Amino acid sequence: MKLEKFKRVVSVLLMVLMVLIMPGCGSKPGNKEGGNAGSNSADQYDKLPKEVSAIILDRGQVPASEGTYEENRWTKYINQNSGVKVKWVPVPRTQDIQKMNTLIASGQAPDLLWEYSRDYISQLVDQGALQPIDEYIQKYSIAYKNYLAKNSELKPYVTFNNKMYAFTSKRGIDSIANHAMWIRQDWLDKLGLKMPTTDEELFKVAEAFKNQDPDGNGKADTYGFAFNYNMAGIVSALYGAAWNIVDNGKIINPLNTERYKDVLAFRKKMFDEGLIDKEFITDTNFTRERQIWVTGKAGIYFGGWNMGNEWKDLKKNVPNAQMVPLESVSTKYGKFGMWQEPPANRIIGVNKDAKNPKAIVQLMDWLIDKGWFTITFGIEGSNYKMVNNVPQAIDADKNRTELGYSGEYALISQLDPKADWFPIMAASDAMSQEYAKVESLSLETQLKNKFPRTTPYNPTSTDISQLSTEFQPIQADIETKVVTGGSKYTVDWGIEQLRNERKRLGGDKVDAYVQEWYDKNKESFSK
Amino acid sequence: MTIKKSTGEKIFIVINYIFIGLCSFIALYPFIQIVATSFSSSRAVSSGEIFWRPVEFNVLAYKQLLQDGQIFVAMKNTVILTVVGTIINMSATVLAAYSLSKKRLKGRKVFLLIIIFTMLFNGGLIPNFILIKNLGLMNKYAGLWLMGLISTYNMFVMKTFFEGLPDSLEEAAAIDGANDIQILVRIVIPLSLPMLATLTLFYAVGWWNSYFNAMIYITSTGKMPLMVKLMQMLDMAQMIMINTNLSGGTEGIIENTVAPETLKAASIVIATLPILCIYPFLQKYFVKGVLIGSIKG
Amino acid sequence: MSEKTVTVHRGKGIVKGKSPLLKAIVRDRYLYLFLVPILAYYIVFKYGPMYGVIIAFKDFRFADGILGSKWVGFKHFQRLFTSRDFLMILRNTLLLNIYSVVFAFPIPIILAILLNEIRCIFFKKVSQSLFYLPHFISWVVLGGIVVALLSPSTGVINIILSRVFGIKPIYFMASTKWWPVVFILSGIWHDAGWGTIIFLAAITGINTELYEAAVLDGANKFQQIWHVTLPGIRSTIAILLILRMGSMMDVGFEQIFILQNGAVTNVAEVISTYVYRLGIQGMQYSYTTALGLFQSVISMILVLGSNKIIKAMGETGLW
Repeated sequence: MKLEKFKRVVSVLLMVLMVLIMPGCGSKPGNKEGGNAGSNSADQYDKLPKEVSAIILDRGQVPASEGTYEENRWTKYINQNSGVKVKWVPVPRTQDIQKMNTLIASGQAPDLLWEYSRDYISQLVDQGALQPIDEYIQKYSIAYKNYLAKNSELKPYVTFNNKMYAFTSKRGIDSIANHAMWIRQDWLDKLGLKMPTTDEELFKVAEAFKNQDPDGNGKADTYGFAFNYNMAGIVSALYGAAWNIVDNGKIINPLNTERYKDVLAFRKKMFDEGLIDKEFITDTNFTRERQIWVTGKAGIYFGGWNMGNEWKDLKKNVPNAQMVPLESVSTKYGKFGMWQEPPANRIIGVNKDAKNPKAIVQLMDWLIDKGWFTITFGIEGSNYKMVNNVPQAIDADKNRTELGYSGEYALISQLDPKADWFPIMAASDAMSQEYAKVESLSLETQLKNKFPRTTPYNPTSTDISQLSTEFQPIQADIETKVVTGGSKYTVDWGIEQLRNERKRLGGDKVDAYVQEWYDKNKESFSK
Repeated sequence: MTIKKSTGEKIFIVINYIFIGLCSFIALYPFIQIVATSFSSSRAVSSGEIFWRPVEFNVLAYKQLLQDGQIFVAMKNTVILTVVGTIINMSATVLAAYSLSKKRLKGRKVFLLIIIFTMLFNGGLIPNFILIKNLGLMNKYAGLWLMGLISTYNMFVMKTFFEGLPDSLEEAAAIDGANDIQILVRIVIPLSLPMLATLTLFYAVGWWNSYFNAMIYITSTGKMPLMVKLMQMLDMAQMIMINTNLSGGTEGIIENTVAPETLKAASIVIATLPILCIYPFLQKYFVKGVLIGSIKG
Repeated sequence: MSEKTVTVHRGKGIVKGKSPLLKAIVRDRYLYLFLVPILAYYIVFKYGPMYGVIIAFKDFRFADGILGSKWVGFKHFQRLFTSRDFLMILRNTLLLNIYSVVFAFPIPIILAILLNEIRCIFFKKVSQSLFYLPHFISWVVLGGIVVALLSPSTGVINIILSRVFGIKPIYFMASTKWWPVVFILSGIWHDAGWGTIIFLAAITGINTELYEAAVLDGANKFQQIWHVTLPGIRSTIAILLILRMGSMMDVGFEQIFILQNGAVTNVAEVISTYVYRLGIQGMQYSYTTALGLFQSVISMILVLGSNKIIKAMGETGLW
């Protein structure tokens, strides 16, 4: 009997406490109607204080002398010059999405929620966390409206369900280029070879690198290729199989194409002919691969367009090494660019509960017009001076302190460094200057060929996520077998397995959905 | 009276020393490599030349991590978090474990069930976040301390230990008129020093390494503890700075002379060194309980 | 003894006069006092947020909040159980945990006992401090060291195998046969030292008189260990074993992630990596909560079950 009484007491206590705590959960914010088209709306926002809150990524870069991410010289500058007072809410870079989600779920999210991933913003739209902004831009914006009109390729990236939910700006070319190939020019010279322009030539060169002792040490210890985590993507891109393919209105997953056979065959050949380190599958961080490259043991590197550290370390180990950019090579399917980022930079969504959308628009207009430049480069005369219309740093250390953290405050920006800016912007020591030239060349080279992005983005759905989650390890398993399994696992076997497994996991349903999505949305892609 | 050891025992002793020595070396080796890495040049690190001693000795990694002083602020924060947190933890654990170790306590089983249930089931991040917000504990260390008031796991270990103490001691004291508080303080605690020291270490290390909760619930950069700060710095270094939107210039590439692996190694050393100093200090509590042997009378 | 003080049995009882329950509470008033803040903590901070588990039965949407989201019953559980490869993931998770309990769990006990037999205080203290060092090294770093050590071409292990034993190099990390072994051994490397601390503390709690008595009875070292040391830490071993059951449905993410590779997915895919990949897809709150709930239920069964078994063996268990 005591136990029963006791249990009763406990359960009452529990209920009482739950009732006390519950009200906070899933707070449904008030029934605000943003953007009510009505003769009073201009007044409606003018009465409110011009205040906006926004996410800022905490990258731990604000020196103590400058302040904090919430308050520093640039937050003050923005408040003073934009006419809008901005409250910045820092979220840790490494867990920004998780932190933002908790803020949203608890009703604490700021007005401006942004990320580099369109998929995330798309999910926020689905979750009902954001509101459409077409009206606000139409009614209140000048600078941003013009900007968007001039850069209409950005529209699909901020359009969801035919409405615009976010602001964005164009990426500078230096953040569009991503994957890239490099080659040892000194080895080409030593062996009397020309720069490869086709996939077959690429292999011939790699084989020569392996067999003809290009480092001249009398030992057969050189590889044709070395790479980082971009490898699979680069090989796929060479055959134009890194993104969905559109053929006569049909949208096709690369796995279902002939090209993917070539992709797998390429990787298999790399392994079978001993052109790559046989232990690459366990080199999950690619440290071993990197080691091979910087100690000068490989001739071609699959990596990113900007590999300053690798270039520098290689130079220190092998002073005569010449690491130069290698342009994409042509295959029987054509010549394609390596992975490049989509043109839209940060996607900045507007919280459904934002109180003053007019102030938001005012802030954005100011940012895209003048604000971005000062926030990025600083004050003329103090941080930079103009040299051939390029802002050149006056004092590198001072700029690192004052500007090292500032860039992202320019949520939207027209920053677009040209390739020839790098030597001007780089430090003055010999190595930095030499690399800056290589950097410029690399950027130009990689942008010569466009990455065939047939659709600006891809659809998301529960089925797609489920398939993706479950298929990934299976794909890794099959492809590893094909690449490293010798004659036992052929490419044809691998392709068949991949397709069957994908089908088993619901691939057909997903493909049908994607086709439907494509048919519905393809008009908006070319707006 | 010394008893002569058999040959078998003598062999065992020798082998034991060798074995333990070997284990110590195996345990130590990775750490030696990490320390060596942290003091080596990036070139040597990327080229895989580090085994047990630094190659091209330099302190750039440490300089980069320590130079703007943020690490020291973070370390100070972590010290506060750890010291107060551990004291709170140990108090709560001892009180709870002691009470729950008494079989005569009515409702004991119910309490234990209530507690065990929470070890296995939890509501997830979002409801927790809402709770902390509603209690007004966002961005406050008090929030972290309250959230982590007690570790059920540690509490059970302590409770089991208390249950293993001979009843006769406590009964004798009770007959002499001591109440539960006095028994706890004068008899039980002195007998439990090794276990108390162990759990203190566990709690302290837990606070010292705390990352996730601090990252979610502490928003001011000035209040961030060490691990969060270190993670941030590592992440920054790892990010390929192709995005010049972040800074006024690309000079960051060559200037960033410290390879991420070196930074990681240095951050492990910085984060671990203080802990290594705590344990030897606690080792002196790993001694036999004071009152053992006074069972009779 | 008057009629008033009647012992009341559980559940029923005749109460005459002053309620025995009240008497007990008064007698143990300090104990209850101690417990009040603790229980309050559990109720507020653990049970308070527990309503969050209902997300598993809903299609959670931020805009609707936890209470307002649509109720979908067991839809997510269905999705989980019909997920084609869920069985494999579950199997791997359980298998790796079973290996760990069988092979890795006893190691700290053995090490603690051996350490205890070291008479030289300095040696003992230094060893103790060194043992737990690997625990503080993140898996990202330790994993890299493990992979390097086991490399068929340049790894120390294979070099020793071929030069000393004449065995051909084995690609341990890429073999589905060897990978679990590597997983367990590296886990021991990482955590065994840390685990010895608690057993050492338990051993120091053993009454020295018991050792003296055993010695008087003519027991040699091995017999002392078997008859005094081990029984002395039995209850600690028991409770730690039961608590270990609570994490059978989980395998530490960091370790798996760093040691995993394309050749061993059949044995290396576990629940935590599955959740990680789900997380990348984003916003799968309801689904992952359902998965978490499933894990919790199974863990509970394992904990209660092992508790029963341990109690039947004569130990105190959880209660």
